[in-house]
Amino acid sequence: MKRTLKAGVSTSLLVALMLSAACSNSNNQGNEESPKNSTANNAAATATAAPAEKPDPYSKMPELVEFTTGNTVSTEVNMPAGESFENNDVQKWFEENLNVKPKLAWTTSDQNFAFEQKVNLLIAANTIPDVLTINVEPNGLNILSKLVKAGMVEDLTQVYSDYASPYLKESMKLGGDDVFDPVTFDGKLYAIPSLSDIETAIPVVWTRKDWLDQAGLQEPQTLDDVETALKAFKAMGKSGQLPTQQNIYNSDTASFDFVFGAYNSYPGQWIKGEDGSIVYGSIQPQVKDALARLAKWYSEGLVAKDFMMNDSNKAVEAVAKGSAGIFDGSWWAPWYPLPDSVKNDHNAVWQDTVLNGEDGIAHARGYGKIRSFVVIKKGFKHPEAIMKVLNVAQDANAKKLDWYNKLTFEAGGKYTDAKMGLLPVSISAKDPHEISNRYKDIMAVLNGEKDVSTAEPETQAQVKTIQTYQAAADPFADMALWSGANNFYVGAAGLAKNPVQQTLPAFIGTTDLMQKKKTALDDLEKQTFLEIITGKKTVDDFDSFVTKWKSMGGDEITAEVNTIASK
Amino acid sequence: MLKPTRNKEVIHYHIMLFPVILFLVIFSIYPTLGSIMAFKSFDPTKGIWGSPWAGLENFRSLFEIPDFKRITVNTITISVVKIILNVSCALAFALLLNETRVRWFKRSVQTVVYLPFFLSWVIMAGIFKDFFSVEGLINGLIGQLSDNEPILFFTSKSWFMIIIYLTDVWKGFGFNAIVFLAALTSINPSLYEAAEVDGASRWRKLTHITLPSIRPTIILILILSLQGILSGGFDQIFNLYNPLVYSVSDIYDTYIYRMGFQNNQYEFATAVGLFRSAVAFIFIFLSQWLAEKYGDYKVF
Repeated sequence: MKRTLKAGVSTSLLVALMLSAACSNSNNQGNEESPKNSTANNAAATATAAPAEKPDPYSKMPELVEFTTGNTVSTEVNMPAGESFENNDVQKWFEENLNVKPKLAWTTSDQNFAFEQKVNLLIAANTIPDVLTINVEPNGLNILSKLVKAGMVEDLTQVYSDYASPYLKESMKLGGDDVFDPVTFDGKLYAIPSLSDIETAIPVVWTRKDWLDQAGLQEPQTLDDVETALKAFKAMGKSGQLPTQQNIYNSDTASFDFVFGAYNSYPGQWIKGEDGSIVYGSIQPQVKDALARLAKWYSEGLVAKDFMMNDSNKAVEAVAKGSAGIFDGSWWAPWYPLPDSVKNDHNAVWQDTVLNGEDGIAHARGYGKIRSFVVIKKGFKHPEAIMKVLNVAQDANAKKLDWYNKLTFEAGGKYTDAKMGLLPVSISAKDPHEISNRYKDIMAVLNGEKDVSTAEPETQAQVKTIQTYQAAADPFADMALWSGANNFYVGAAGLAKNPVQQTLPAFIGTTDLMQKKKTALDDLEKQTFLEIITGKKTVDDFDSFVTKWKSMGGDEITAEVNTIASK
Repeated sequence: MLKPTRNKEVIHYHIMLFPVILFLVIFSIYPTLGSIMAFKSFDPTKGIWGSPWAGLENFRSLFEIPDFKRITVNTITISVVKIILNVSCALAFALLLNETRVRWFKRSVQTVVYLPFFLSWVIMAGIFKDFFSVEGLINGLIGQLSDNEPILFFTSKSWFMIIIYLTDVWKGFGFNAIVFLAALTSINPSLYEAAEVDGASRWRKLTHITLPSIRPTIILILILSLQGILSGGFDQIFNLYNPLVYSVSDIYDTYIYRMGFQNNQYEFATAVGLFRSAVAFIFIFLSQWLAEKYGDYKVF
């Protein structure tokens, strides 16, 4: 369940923390002066708002538009005293320049899907806030279809075509022609999606290079190497156990995703089967092999005996304490959990890579095309105001806005270490392979193969951070700088070491039958997997699990999923 | 036992009762009306009342789910064991404490054992999880005293249930003990004096005076706990369980939570809840009847 938290952190990290730049001429000023007259005629056609102004993606609203929204708050938030989501310099910019102001109707914890539960309850009570950003995982698209069916959200087709900035529209094309399909119902656009950076889903194995060197080992390339490294660490008096949490897959930190990936298996996901139809990942034979490996690890003590009691924070305590030298994480681990480790032990040198699977190929899971989306409540008077905020957010997230970079990304910025998204409502449309492409671009500049002035603003910003870090007298004095610099320099490097084959989900969302029957199936699966790993059941019990899963409604659900997907 | 009294004499009791009634109306009776959702196909924009009817569809799927039998058995087993343990431990403790002569000791012990009752399970679960973890205090002691492997308290089905019962008794017995202690103080001291004159031993006094005197209280507490037999203690189990022990610890309330709030099947969860309430209703009548028969006590 930690998945949303980290997914949230990862997005908010991308959104809130990786911003900066040496780009002095931002696009939006140009756009402010050149409203798109061509779309002006359509504006009057919007059913909800018929603004007198010509549609201009960046112009100030004639009067103050306040909107309510809900948010998650992490325990790591580190805002300057007296400031909050509603009251900070970023919000002030939006109020002064767009005349738009968010009001926080409620906040939830970022743990255990509290946000999704809250939204579901608000839908049931028919009291959603004006604007909501919902993650696609675990069941965001299902929430959206509920909202649309219930007529609770605004049709944004016209607003998007009139008010979305040319840059945003251009960026959306990076996701492909069908990027709007999941949020389009009967030809109408009901939400503005954020594109996935699919590589963020890749589980990487983080190892301590300093310890491996001491043990005379290379960076692990296979599961066998991981075993060897764990045993070597144990012999050195460190922990010989892999930090592991209770959610054993589809979690971005301290799960077994890398093990499942090594067997080319994708539990919990709907994937394309060999015959082209959509099948459920958890019942595929490859999962059995992965479970056999995990059962072996458990019996050999390479995994904590009571790992199923840990959440990911608990699991990575050993990383911070300097006892664990190897763990499953995401490429952005320099933001979490590595800072604690490095703070405590300046000699800790971390590196990451994607393991080569049993067949020699580095397999990994992926995300669907869209990662989250923004909806606007039906009847909200100025959806175009939200669209304008999103236009600015897109520019900000692409690090094109100098003022925003200075506040939230650059070393020593007021909110660089705030660990919280400050945009009133955010969106991000980037290349799905943004991370590895960006990494290559950054390295090209750092290696002198490319001139920094020709690079995109985002690359310039990242390069500047890395150079600031490298020039710093004490590299650990500013941990936000440490994280910001190492995120790409070390973290993203791990994605480029082995060529990765990602398996993207073929279906995301919840069907009617799933609602009815999937809880029981999930319970059965969780129990069986844990029992097999802990040795309470034999690996061969996996086969009877598959039979049971199918007969308990799994087959019906699979048929339903295939019907929906083929439409 | 209670005789009808004239209104004027008891009016102040009624006034004192008012906040409780108000509480019940707001938090118990009014929401009960929402149970109608169990027969509907819920549509949030139409609300509970406006949603279309679904007949008994939700109940049909209730009896179809394979977990239904399991959660029913679990709920009843857990409740019955908890009731028996809680009452017997509290009773034994009250009797022992009652024999204590030193007043300040009696008072302070009473307060201390009563305290856990006020602690939230959210906090307690966190403490117990650490306490019984592989590297926790208990396993640390086991490791010190023997060569045994650490015990996986939370993943072994039998150990998990022992922990559930133990912690529940630890948290609740102080409260029940107070009721028993109150009952003990109401025993007429002249009975003991008479017994002493007859030369009765302490044990004799216990079996022939104390226990018979508080028998109605014991039976009453037992019987009244019967009404809660289908609750089983949501906060405790929810905060402690994990999928490995679902088969022995999943109860109605945890199941309703997973279905209703995590899977948004409000109608179905309501149906489970309504079913649970219906059975609980039968138990209430049963307990009233038993209370009247054996406890010499009548509520209505």
